[in-house]
Amino acid sequence: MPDKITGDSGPRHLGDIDKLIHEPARLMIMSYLFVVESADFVFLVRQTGLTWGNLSAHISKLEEAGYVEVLKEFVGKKPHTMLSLTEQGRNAFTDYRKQMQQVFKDLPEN
Amino acid sequence: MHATVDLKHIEQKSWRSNFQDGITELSLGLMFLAFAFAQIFEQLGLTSPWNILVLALPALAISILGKRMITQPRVGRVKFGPRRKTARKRMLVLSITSTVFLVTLVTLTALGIFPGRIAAALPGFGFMAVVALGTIAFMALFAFLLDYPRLALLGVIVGLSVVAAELLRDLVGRPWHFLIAYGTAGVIMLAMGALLLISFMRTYPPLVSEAPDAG
Repeated sequence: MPDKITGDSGPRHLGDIDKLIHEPARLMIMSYLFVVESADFVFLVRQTGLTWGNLSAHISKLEEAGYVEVLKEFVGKKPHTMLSLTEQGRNAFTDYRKQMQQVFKDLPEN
Repeated sequence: MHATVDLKHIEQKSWRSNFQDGITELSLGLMFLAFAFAQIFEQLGLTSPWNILVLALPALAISILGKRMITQPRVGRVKFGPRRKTARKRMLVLSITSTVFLVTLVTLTALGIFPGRIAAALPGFGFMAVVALGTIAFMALFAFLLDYPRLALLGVIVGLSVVAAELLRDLVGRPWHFLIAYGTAGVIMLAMGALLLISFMRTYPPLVSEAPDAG
């Protein structure tokens, strides 16, 4: 069956999958940020179970790719860092989901 | 694994993590103790509204400071998407409506129309049942809008305490009927809140922040 996204058939177009998002830890981060408007480091550490260092490293990679933006705001008089997906990040994640769904859809039953 | 990322579940899990701290139960419980002890405090010389505020103000403080000092440092800050924002707007409308309803009720009570004439129009336990069911329905609606199922259970406790207060009025007399009915409801809610808070604090111990401005 021809693939709607790549025009390909079968799981060959797995190669087109966004590897930056496909990494499990980053996929978790992207998923959480996709369902909210913005969140802070504490929220992501709690929800994903990643360590500070790990989370920070993955956020840097996603920020470099333009998928995540770091927002500085004030809570009372204290500075606070919030993270949110950029438009590009949201689109990339949506595409990733569609591609993965297609990959699994194209796989034979057994 | 990747194809089955359940975004709805992730969003709901994030949303509900805000309600696992027991803060609502603690402040509601204290609020009910305020109602329970109001008349006793009045007999001890604490005039209205201080007889209620003496416990209602700490309840409010627990609600605000608890979220700020216990919940947020442990589960973090999050701004939810449009679906939750709409729910919050509906909550706001419901809160305003309920305030108007409450003001009307107080005015009717001051004019002697409520509960006197309305209670007289409903025979037997009718009036009591209407008030209790109304309370439960109201809290259930809040629970639905907030996606916070435990709030419906609190509504049942509140509704039952209204019934109990009415049933105990003739049995033990004023102000003991309030003390027993609302006091029991308050203690149950406080116990629920305390257990939830302990469990929450064990599940989410304070984080040692290594990230800038993370807390």
